[in-house]
Amino acid sequence: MRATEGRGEAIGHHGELIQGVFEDQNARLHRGLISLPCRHLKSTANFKNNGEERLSVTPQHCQKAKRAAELTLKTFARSSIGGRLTIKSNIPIGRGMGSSTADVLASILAVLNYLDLESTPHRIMAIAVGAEAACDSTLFSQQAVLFSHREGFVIEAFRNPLPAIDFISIDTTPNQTVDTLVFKPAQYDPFEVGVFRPLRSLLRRAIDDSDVGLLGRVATASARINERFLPKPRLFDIEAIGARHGALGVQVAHSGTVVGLMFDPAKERSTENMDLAMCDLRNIGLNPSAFRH
Amino acid sequence: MASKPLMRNLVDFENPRIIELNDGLCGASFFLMKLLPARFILERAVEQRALKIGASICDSSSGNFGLALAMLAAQHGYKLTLVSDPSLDRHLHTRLAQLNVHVDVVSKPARGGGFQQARSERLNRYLREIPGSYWPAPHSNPDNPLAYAKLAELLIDRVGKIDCLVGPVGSGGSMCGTSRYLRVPFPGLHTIGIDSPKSVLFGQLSGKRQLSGLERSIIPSNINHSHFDEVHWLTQAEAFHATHRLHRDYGLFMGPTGGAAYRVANWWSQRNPGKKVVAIFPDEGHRYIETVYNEDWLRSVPGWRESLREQPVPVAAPTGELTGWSYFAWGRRTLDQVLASAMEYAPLRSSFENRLPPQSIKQKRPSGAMHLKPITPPSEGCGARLIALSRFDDAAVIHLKLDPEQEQFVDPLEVVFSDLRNSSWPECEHPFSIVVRDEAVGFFVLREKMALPEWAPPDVITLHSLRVGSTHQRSGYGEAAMRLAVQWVLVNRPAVACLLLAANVRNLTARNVYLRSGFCDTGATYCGPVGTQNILKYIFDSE
Repeated sequence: MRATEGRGEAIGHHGELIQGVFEDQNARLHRGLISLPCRHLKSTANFKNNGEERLSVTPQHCQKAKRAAELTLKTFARSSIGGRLTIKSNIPIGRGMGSSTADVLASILAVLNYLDLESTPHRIMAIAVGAEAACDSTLFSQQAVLFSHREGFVIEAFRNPLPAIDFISIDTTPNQTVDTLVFKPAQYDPFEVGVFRPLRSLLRRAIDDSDVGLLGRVATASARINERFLPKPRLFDIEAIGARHGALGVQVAHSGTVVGLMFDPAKERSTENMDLAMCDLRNIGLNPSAFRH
Repeated sequence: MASKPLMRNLVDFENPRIIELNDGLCGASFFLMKLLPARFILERAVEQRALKIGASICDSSSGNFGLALAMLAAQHGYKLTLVSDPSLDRHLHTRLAQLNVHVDVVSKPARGGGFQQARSERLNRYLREIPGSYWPAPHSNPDNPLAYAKLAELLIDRVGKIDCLVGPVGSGGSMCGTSRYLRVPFPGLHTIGIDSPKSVLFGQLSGKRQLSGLERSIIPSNINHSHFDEVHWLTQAEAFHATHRLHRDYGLFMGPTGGAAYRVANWWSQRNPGKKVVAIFPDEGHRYIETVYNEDWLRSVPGWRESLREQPVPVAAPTGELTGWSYFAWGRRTLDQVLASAMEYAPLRSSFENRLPPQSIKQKRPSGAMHLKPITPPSEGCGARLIALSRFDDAAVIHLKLDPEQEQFVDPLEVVFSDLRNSSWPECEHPFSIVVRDEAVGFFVLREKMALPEWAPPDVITLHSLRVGSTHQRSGYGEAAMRLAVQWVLVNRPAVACLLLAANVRNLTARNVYLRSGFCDTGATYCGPVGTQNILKYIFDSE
C-alpha cells in the first residue's frame, strides 16, 4: 500500500562561485552559474495526501513551491491528487542564498517520495525551472556542474564534486533584499563575455584538481564583474581584509546581498586567520559569521 | 540567449597546438594565428549588421591577416579585395589569387606618405565605391584583442597558471588581448613583447623594419603599451637564427616572429626556474622557405655571419640605437610615460650603452673602482647610484665606518668579504656600493637562488649587510640605497616578486629606513646570532 506522506529536503547556498555566460557545444551562449552550497541551510518539505483534490501550502507565501509540487504531481501521478504541503526552512530569504529554489526542490522531492519514484537531477531541474524562472545548482552534489539557471540544463559537468571550502559570510546590506524574479539579468559587455572563457577553463582545472586556490581566483573575478550590475557595498574593504589574512578570494551572491571570504579548510592556519579576519570585519562595522564546510 | 552568426568552419585551424619545450616553457604553435581575430571580427560585424551576407570585405594587407580573411571569405561566401604593395610575397600573391581574392598592388608610394599612405588612399576608394563593403581594420578594431579570450581559455586549459607570456607585437591584438584576459585571474602575469630595432611601436626611431609581419611605421591603436612588463628587440639575423634553432631542436617549423619569441621565452624561462612561460608562435615556416630557411638568401641579411649576443643587453631607455638583442623594463607604462622618463635619462645614455648585461656581473672582472660602470641610473634627490663590486673589491668600501650604536647589528666588512670570497655560490651573491659624486657612501649585498638565507622562500631576493658610512648618516642615503636595490631587481630580475631582509628588532633606526622605503613587516621573525630579527619585505607585484 502506498504511503500517505512524502518528505523531501534541499539545501541552500551562499551565492555563486561564478555566474556569467558560457558557450555550449554548438557555440551558443547561455547564462550559467555554480552555486556555493551550504549544507547546514536546509528546506524540508512534507507532502501529505489528505484525500482532497486541491493542494494547499504552509506557509502561504511559498507559492513557487506549491506550483512545483503541482507540476510534479501532474507530470508523474496518473490521477489528480491534492493534499497539504508544509515547508520548514532555515535559509534566509532575499539574500541570494537559494531559499526559494530549496523550497521548490524540497517540494518536488517530497512529492516524488510520496509517489515512491526516483527521478534524474535533470528531470527535477526542468520541473524546478518550470515552477520558478531561475534555479541554482545545489542539487548536483556528486559532481559539480556549470548550470544554466534560466534554462534548466547542464552546460558542463565536471569530473569531481566541488572541493570543501570554509568561508566567512557577510551580509553587506542586511536591511535590503533582492527579489530574484524582478532583478534584471546582467548585460555583459563584449570584454566581459570574453572573460568567462578563461574563467571557465580555470574553474575546470580548479574542480578537477580540487585546487581551492584557483577556485578563489575564479570567484574573485566573477565577484568583480558583478560589481557593475549588483554592487556589494565595501567589497574592496572585505577583499583587503581577506588578503591580509590569507583568504583564497571572495565570492558573492550575484542576485543577492551576501559576500563570502573563502579559506582553505586544509590549511592549519585557516581557523586562526578566519578569527583574525572576523575581528577586522567587525572593526569596520560589519557583522560576519563563520561557515565551515 | 540569442543565437549569434557563426563562421566556425575553420575553427580547428585557429587554435594553437601546445608543445612543452623545456621544463616550464610551452610554445603555442599556430598554423595561422590571424584566423582567430579575422573570424571573430567578421562574426561580430555580421552580428552588428556591418557585414551583410555575400558582401565585399576590403582591407590593406600583404601578410597573414589578408590570408586569413581570404580563407574565411572562401569558406563563408564573401568577396574580398586586398590592397597591397610590391613587398607582397609572390607565392602569397598566387595563393590569394587562387582564393579568388581581388589583389590590388599599389605600384608607387604616395608623395610624402610612402606606400602606407598610398595603400590607405586606395583602400578608401574601394570602401567608397563598393556598396555595402566592410573594412575589418585589425589595427584599430577593438574586436581584434577581444578575439583572444579564446586563446586565454585554451592556454589555461592546457597549461594552468601562467606566469609569463612572450610574443611578437604587430597590431597589438594577440599580446594585449591575451594578457588582459589572463590577468583577470592572474594579475601578476609578466608580459614580454618583442619588436625589432628601428620599429616605432615601442619608442624606437622610425625606419625600415625588419621582421616580416612587423612592417608598419605608425602605432596601431590596438597596442596598449601599459600591458607590457618588458620589451625585447631582436635583429633580423638574431630572429632567423632562433627560428632555425626552434626547428633544429624541436622540429617546429615556424615563421621568424615565432623564432624570436622562442629565443626570449627560453632566456626568461632559464632565469626563472619554476615559472610557467608561454611563447606564441604565430605562423608556420612554409611562407619563408625562400627566405628565412634559404641559406643563399640569408647571406644577404646584415649580421647573418657575425657572432650573435647570447644574452640581451638591458637598456635604460627604448630610444637609443640598438645593434643587437636588447631589452627594456617597460613596467606597464604608457608610451608617453616611458618616453618622458627616457628624456630624463638622455644625458646619461652614453654611459648606459656600454653597460654590461646583468649576467656579466657574475663574471670575473678586474677589481678596483676605476673599471666599474654604474649599473643603475642615479636615484632622484641625492644623486646616488649603484656600482656592482666583485668579491675582491673590499678596498672600495672598507672606509665605511659605522656609528657604535649600529656596529652591534651589522657584520664587519672584513667578515662580509671573507664570506663572499668563500661562498659556495658566488654567482648568486652581488655586493654593491652606493656612490655619490664618485665617493662610496654605502654598501649592501643582494643574494638570490642557492645563496638565499634559511629564512627566505626560494624565489625572492634578499638584502644583507646594509651600511651607510657614519660620516654620511642622515643624508637620506639609506633610503636611496633601498630605492637602488629595488630598481636593480626590477631591471635585472623582473620576475622576482619580492625583496626580503631581516632587521634586528632592536635596530629601530634601520627599521624606520626600511618602512619609509616601502618595505612592510611580514610578521615573521628569525632568531639570528645577534638576536631576534623581523623579516621585512618589499613587494613588486600586486599578486
